[in-house]
Amino acid sequence: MKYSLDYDPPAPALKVRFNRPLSDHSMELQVKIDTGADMTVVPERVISGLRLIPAGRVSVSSFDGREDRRYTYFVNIYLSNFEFSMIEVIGARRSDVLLGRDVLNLLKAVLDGKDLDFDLFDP
Amino acid sequence: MCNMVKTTVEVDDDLWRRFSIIVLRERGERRKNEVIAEMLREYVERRGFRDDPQQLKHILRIEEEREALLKVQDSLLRDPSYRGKYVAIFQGLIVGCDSDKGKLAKSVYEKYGYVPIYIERVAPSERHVEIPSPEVIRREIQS
Repeated sequence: MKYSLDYDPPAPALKVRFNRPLSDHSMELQVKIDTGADMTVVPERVISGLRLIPAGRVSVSSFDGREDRRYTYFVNIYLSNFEFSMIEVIGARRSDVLLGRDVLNLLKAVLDGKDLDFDLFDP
Repeated sequence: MCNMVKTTVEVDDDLWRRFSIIVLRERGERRKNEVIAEMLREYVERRGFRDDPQQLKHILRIEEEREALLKVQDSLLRDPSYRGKYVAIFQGLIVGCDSDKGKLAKSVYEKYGYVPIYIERVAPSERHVEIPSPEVIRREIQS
């Protein structure tokens, strides 16, 4: 897959489908791979659009050390040919998804920055 | 028409005087309530807490379930069958326990329906995650 030029510098990004638990109500969104993120972050509109129900709370720290508390939600994620059931995510005011290591660590990710190419495998 | 609530807060006297003068200059007499209400709304909305009555209801339920967990947390921490695992709290009771939070969520949602159920790890401190990547905002990403 090619890096997305929507970002500057280009970033590994792809379209991913998110499902509300126990339902076929879903949304497709642009996802950016973020190996620094401990957890996957979805736009707030996913929470309202899929009518997700909070399930937990975590303390979140950002790059500048600021801490915030966020409610968590479970979603099903359909990424390329992979399906991940009941992934815990948090919401944020952003337009794309950050795919964190909670999902990336279930796959083998190869990032070829020189050729702006990446791949996700399940070895 | 939304319900209104009256409340009392304590603030530094000097801060309050300065605030009052600024409001008087910019808005005129008897406008402090209006400015405070605007600041509260901005504070809440900036944190992504939308004006969604259903979501607010769910969050209040989750907070109640969280309170129920906090009441028994010390005893759960001493119990090796719970310590370090995730528990699900529904209507104030522990309704499930698993080391895999996703499996636990699936099982309790299948059993009780997709309703507010609090799922948390039995640990001495709250869960903490880092989302550290700074992003340069140049243009909006369209999904």
